[in-house]
Amino acid sequence: MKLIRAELVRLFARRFTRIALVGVLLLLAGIATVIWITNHKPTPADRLSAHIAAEQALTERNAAYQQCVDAQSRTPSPGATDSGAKQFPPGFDCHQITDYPSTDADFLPASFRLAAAGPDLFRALGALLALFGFAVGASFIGAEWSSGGILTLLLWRPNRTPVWLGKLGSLLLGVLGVGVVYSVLWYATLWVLADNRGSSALTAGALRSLALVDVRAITLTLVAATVGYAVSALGRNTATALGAAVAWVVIFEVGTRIILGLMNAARPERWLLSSYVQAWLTNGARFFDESKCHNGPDPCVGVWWRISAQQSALVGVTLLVVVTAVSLYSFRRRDVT
Amino acid sequence: MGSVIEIEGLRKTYRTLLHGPRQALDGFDMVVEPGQVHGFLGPNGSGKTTTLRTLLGLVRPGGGRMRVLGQPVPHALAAVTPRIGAVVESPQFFGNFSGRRTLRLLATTGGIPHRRVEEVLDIVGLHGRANDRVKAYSLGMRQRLAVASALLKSPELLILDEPANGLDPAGIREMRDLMRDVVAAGATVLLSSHILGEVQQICDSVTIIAHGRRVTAGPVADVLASQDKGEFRVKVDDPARAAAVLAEAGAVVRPAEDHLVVTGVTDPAWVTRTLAGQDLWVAELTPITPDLESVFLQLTDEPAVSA
Repeated sequence: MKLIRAELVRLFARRFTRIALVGVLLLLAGIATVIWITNHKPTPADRLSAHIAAEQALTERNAAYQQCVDAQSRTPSPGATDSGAKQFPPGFDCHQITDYPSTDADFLPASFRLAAAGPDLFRALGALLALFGFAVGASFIGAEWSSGGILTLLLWRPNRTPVWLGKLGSLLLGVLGVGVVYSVLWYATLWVLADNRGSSALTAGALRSLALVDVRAITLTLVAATVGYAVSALGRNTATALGAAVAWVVIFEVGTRIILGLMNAARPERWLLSSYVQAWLTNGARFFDESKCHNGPDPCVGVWWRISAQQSALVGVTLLVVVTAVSLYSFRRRDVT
Repeated sequence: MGSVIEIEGLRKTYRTLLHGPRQALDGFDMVVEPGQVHGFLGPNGSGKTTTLRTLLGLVRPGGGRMRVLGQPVPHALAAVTPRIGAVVESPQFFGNFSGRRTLRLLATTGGIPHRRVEEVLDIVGLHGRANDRVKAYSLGMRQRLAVASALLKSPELLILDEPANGLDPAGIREMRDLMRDVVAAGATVLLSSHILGEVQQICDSVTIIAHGRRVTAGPVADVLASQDKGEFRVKVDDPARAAAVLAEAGAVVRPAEDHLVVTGVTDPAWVTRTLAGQDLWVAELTPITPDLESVFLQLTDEPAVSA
């Protein structure tokens, strides 16, 4: 506990941590500002004019539907000019016109509805916090290796496994604390925005869903922090983790995507870590497999397929176990020269 | 009370993909008795730092046996570490923290009350700059901070690797006084240094290492005496005649710039008597005793790094 307490103090005393905290805060403030500027709470006049516009759209749509039905029921004579026939070619499904009826909301000025936009904004928070966790995790042990802090610590605590785990534990505690505090702040900010620039109404189910998104976001942050820490400990400097992250993006995310695309490989997303991150944050993700498509007159008959949150968790846990096990083994065994 | 450090047959081979195996320690032995300042000398790359790091659990030994404060290491290192203070090679600390914060974090890690931080800051003379960032410290101040961190534990064994690096003459003297104080308080100091004059002044005993092996060890006086060839420096008015007289009497004489070096004589009075018998009067008769530097160079066959 003494080690964890000291390392927690060290974590938040570090300038990099403080700068990263402020950086995340500024980015969130930027997003909030954009939401504030681009959204407006509808006035009664806005609602009235939206209602009128929606009614008018409904009338026009009904007229178009009728025109379509008429056009489909007539057999055009050769050489005749029928505007309805031109607009609605033979075989056109007229119900497509009425499938998505307009509502008043479609004609209101942009307004911020917490129930609708909340989940995505909490995923954005998760992405930012994951970046924060990775960078701070990497720097927390990487800079200590570079500066000799680890050597000094090992002169006080020669059992290396508790040192590695203690530092990681304090990092995760710190990152968890940051995640919780920032989540609360973010929710409060979004609620204020919604209350002033739209609707803050949330059903109990929507609130629970938002909380689950946040739990996933914070879990992702903890995983990112652990991976950053473990890779940095393995290379004994911060640059190793940052280099590995860049290499991962360039080689596996961009390069693999291009190669698999050229090979017309089936379900290429399954090889990309970003797909699993996406699936984790969205509680499962659907992808369209275009490998079955081919150039020709027939329409594409690709299939939709899905990565579930469970599959995503399995990939995450496997990655975590492998990276941390190798890192801890190396930390225990390698000489400090 | 037993020895503070006992090392027997310590071996270490570093293996790298690029350069292959390199033997750093080849059956090294060392014994450090309690209540002493023990000097640990050796040329660069001789295995000093590897020995210290192996003792402290930073490097895994390839073979041999080590005991520190009566406990086998690295097996019982966790038990003895709270009793050992160490500064290994150049002291390194996180540059953005102040000296005080650095020491407080270490104290928290080791469960040491923070008032001890103020005490050690006083001891090493850093109190006035304790709130400055470490990156603003000179090398000498960092060295003091490192020593302060080692003293935090009130150690029974203090291991110092080149503690005088970067210190000015006053700082070196303070460091010497500090080591004396530590020993006077009942602790033992293992001092690895290149400054041989300093070691000779302060150390009670020494171990000299070369090529990963011990070449000599013992009290400083004994080590020096072991290399004493019984030479005397003799000044007379007529060196040429004096040399002939002494050589005829059985001594080995070597002329130097303005004196003679006489070897193989046990009693200096014999020199005076022999020369006086030939009306040659001795102006100076001084025994030539080896200093640690000459002994070091002789034993390690390497040039020492001067202070």
